[in-house]
Amino acid sequence: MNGRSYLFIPGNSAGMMVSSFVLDADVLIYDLEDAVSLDQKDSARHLVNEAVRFLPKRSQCWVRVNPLDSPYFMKDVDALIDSPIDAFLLPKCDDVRFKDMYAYIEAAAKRKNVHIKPCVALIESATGVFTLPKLIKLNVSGLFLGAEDLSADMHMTRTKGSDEIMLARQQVVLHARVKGIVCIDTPFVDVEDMDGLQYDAIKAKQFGFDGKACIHPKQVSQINQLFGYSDEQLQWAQGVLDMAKKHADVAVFNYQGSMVDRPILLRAQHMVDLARKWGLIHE
Amino acid sequence: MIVSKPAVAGTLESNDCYVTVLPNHSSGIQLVIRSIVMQKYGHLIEKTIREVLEEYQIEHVSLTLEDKGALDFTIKARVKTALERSV
Amino acid sequence: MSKYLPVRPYQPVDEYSPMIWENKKQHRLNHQVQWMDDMNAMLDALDLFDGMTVSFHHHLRNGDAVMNMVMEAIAQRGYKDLTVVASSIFPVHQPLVAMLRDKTVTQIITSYMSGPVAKAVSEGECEATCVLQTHGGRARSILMEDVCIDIAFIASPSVNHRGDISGQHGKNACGALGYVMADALMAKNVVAISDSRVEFDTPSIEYTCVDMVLMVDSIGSSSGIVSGTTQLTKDPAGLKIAHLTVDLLDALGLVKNGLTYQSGAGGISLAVTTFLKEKMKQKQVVGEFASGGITRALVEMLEEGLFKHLYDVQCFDLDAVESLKKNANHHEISASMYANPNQLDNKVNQLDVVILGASEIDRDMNVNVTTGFDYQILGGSGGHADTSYGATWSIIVSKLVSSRIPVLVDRVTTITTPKDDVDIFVCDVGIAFAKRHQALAATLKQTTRLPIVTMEELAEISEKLCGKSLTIEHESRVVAVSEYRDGSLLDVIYQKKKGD
Repeated sequence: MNGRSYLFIPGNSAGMMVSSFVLDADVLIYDLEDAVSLDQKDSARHLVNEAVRFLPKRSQCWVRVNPLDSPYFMKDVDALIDSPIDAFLLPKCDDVRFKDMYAYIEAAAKRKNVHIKPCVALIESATGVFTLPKLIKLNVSGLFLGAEDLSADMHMTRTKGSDEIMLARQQVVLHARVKGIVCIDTPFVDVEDMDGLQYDAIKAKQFGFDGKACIHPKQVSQINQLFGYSDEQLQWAQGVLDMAKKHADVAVFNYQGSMVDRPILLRAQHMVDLARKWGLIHE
Repeated sequence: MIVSKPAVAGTLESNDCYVTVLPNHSSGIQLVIRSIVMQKYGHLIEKTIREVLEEYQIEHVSLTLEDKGALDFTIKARVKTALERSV
Repeated sequence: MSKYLPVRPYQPVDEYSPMIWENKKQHRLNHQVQWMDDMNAMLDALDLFDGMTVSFHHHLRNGDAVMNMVMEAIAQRGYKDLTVVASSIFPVHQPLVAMLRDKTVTQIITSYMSGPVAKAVSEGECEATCVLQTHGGRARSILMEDVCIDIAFIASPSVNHRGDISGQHGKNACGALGYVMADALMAKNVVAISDSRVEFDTPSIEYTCVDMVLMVDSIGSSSGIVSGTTQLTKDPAGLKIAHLTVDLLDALGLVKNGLTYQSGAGGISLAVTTFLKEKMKQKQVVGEFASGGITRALVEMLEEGLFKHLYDVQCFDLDAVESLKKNANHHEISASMYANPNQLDNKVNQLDVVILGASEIDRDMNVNVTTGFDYQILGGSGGHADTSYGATWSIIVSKLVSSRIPVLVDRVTTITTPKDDVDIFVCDVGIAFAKRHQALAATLKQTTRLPIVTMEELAEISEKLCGKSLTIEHESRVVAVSEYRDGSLLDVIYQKKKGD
């Protein structure tokens, strides 16, 4: 489930579908919701459904379905429950809505005799943030912050400095860590402002987010770089693991002047595993 | 499934196709395909359309497809959408 | 009248020996050009005959008016069976189609053909077999007198009182006149057609080569010289390719002081140049020169000190025209000095890297930029085969599939550039090396994050996406040949099948 970049792809655009698999995002989110007009919901559903069963799979693929109270949610789930996608991204979540959506998805999976898909909750409303403690008691696989809709719901003014969403960011990260699931930061919506993206992404990483949403392919490489590991960090991690092999008989050893115990060892292993997955290191 | 009213799906953008479906009560399956890659893949485009028609058990339809280089998955999706809209 | 046709089959050649041409016309120091009153007077004074060979250049690209003006006047006099040696042909030259049909013109020899004339030739409307040359090959064939020009008609942005020609001045300045110089040296008669009398000292062509000058109202429109080139690509897949290419150049150690560089004018190639500029600034390196068709992007690099020199055979936009006039290190060169394989010190031989596009490429890396999959002529080598041969690294950049048209094919419709001259293919799915570079490919795969793949892997992905194509049929007639830069025969071009 761990990705650095999460790129939204409009679900009714055949051209974007076709090039989506070469863009280097860790997770592609095929969007049936906000990127698709009401009169094309059926069209997008078919296009995404056919695309995920056809295109080469080089990244994780998620689908953002329509909200529970729309006429489209159930059809979206029915169409995609038995497809190769890796997760559903459920919009406008709070604990009650997530519960109901998850129940329907579980039933759909049973009907088609397939495994249920992981479900990631999009937190984009006041109740969404407020009910996080209850939400993480459910079967949620990730928390995704959607600040544009959230700020509308909260009567906030959305700014590039993002002071107004600080609480929401912290709550999302906190609850994700308690549950032990991924947390993904809201997209930076000014696609021309690469400096603004840099500032915002660094902030998100500082807050503890695992990755960040992208709304345009040109944002992907910067996000991958910021949420990935630097060469120095990877060298450190590999060094720790090599040293651990030499000191297999002890629980704690010294590396580069610092104590390395089991938690640090696990962290180093985790870094190397992810780096391998992201193509940052070779065998 | 019976095609009972006209319906369209898709667009004329690159990599997409525009499908028009019209009811045709007893003349069987009438296909008109125009594609920028007709010489190379016209046979696959027709095959994909016919497979969908069979899946939906359609016996009578007038279907026009204007193709701008859509891959088979797009053709399938657009034809399915148009047929479902024509019911 | 027998028409020119290359017949010697292509063979890869390691090195071409330099040859020296005698400029017979430079001894004509007491020569005086004839100033003609009008087109009729000019044609009266020339020795015209059926079957003659006339030449034109394309520096005004789709803004050219001279070829049409001259050909219409000659056609009106009822001459037939002419060979037109035009360095390129654009949609503006549409009147040539009627002349093909009524056999006024029976052969075209060119380095690039587009628009209605290309369509007519592909459909079999030209009586004799046309010849598609490279830019360097055209100069070579004229200087070596394989192609003999009876009259060269030179669209001249400006002439001075002596009859010198300059591309840099006048109301329709087009900058470098690189493709004209061989014609001016070797044609039996040279006619300058100009719309501006200007006094200048540094000519593109000296008066000693010019026999007649005709002043007209307008030789065309210099705003047309931007035509046929493209803007920087905005397609995310194209931008990815451009970024990958610059990362590749870096990994190959090419982002260095002294770099010699050329790029084509396609959208992805232009993006490569833009990203290379950023990388060179970052690493604080200064290149030795950039060459070929000069664009604003390259002018900016010269002016920002990222390249020491620009060697200009043609200007692709008005910024390049302006720069040629004012920047001392922006040099006009002839097509021969640019790309003639037998020219001593030709520029393409000095290139570290060239970035080029492709209409098609096969698994061996033969490249086609001449025809589409339907046998329609849509261009020609231009400098593609020349730069590929000369550059140490010839890199082809293209999306793997565009609108269900795969660039990777089993066999290219026409070989424009042979596999011996192509090194690397960079597409949106990955980077593939020619078979002779497999050891390097393996090393880079181990030591870098570049997505190194094989052509076979790309072919598999391409076929999965598009499906298996039917074989396109063609008529049996050969309408044109693809001539290699040394005058050998590389490939034939068949007539398009009739129908849509």
